[in-house]
Amino acid sequence: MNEKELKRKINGLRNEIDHRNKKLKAIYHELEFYKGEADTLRAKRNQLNEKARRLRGEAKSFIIKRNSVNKEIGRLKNKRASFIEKIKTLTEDIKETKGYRDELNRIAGAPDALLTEIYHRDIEKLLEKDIPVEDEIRLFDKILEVKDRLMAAKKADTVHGKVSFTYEEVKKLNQNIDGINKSIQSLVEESQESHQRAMNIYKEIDVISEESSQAHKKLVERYDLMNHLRGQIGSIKEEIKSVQKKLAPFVDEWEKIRHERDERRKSQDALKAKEKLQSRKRISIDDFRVLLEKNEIDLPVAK
Amino acid sequence: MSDYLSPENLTPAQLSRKLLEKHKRILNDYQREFKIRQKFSVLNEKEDLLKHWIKSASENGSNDYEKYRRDREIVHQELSSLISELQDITPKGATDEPKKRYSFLEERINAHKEAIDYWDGRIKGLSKKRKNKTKSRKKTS
Repeated sequence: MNEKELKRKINGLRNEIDHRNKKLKAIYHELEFYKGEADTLRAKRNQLNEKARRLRGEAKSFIIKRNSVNKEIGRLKNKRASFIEKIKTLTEDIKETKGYRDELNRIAGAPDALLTEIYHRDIEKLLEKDIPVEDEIRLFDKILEVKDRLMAAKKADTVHGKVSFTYEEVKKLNQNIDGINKSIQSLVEESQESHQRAMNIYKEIDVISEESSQAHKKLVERYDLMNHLRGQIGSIKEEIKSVQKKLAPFVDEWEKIRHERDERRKSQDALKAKEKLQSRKRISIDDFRVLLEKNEIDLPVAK
Repeated sequence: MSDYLSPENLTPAQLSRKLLEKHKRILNDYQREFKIRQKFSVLNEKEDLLKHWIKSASENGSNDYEKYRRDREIVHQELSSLISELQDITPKGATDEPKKRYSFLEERINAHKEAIDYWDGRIKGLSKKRKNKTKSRKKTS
């Protein structure tokens, strides 16, 4: 292959390398663009994940609060149940005691005050008046009967007092239950509020997680694109190496031809310069340099 | 009214004892009045007799006149004292008729004696009943 052909071949191969280098530049540019997008998406995803983490902590605190309130509600419900059970027992007790009181009142047959009056009047008559013994016997029996009735009436009063006291106790327990019901109602609202707030936060977390997931998906897509581009870069670089490998012998050959041509020209120039020198013609700097290179001139050695 | 007569503490035995006390008290009062009336009756007759003797001694010029007169004075004083005592012990509304009052007292004294017997018997009966109850309780235990 002559020099011209070599030159054409070399230029052809060099064009191929340039073409690939341009492609590489475009790919690097595209890679840089995707890298920027990936950085933005990564930052967004991490930011969203951080926000979701913070919100999960917040939601957890509401759940803990709700559970604690629910525990307190449970404790109050148990207390209320024990009060209700106590009321049930007391109500049964009242029923029983009222039955006993009614029986005593039935035995008494008249109020305490009236029986007391009759009792004292008859006692006075029996022990102070001079009356026939038959009347005394009748009055004696009557006094003992009134005494029993009076005792029953007094006992009925005592039992009634007990019933009233138990009623008061039931009333107090009912008031306590009302108080507990109000507390439970208030705590239920508090629990529901905490639950609702936690649920709202979890909804927000779901939205954020979805957004984060989308960002991550896009990020992975960008990574895939970048990996694909990196793959292309590798291939193109391999292709450039291959072309450079092809180019090298042609360049060497071309260099060799150029060198030989230069050597020939230099020898001709040296010959011409030598003729000029021999004919004592004026020589140029280039002529002088050629002569020196060809050792046609001996320069004095400095002592 | 005493505490033991309050309905809380009253027992048939206690009431019977109180009745017995009442009858004894009234009997005592009636007997006292009865005795005073008996004494009054005797002294009244004695005064009538002394009045008669004083009149006879005065008519006969007897030496006993003064003695009868002094005796009559003593009897008269005793009668006055008994009248005053009777006025104190005779209940208001009681008859002024001495004989009626006397027979009333007699009748009432007998009635109260009978009543005392009755209530005394009843107390004894109650006491016996109580003792039997205690015995049967001891046997049971």
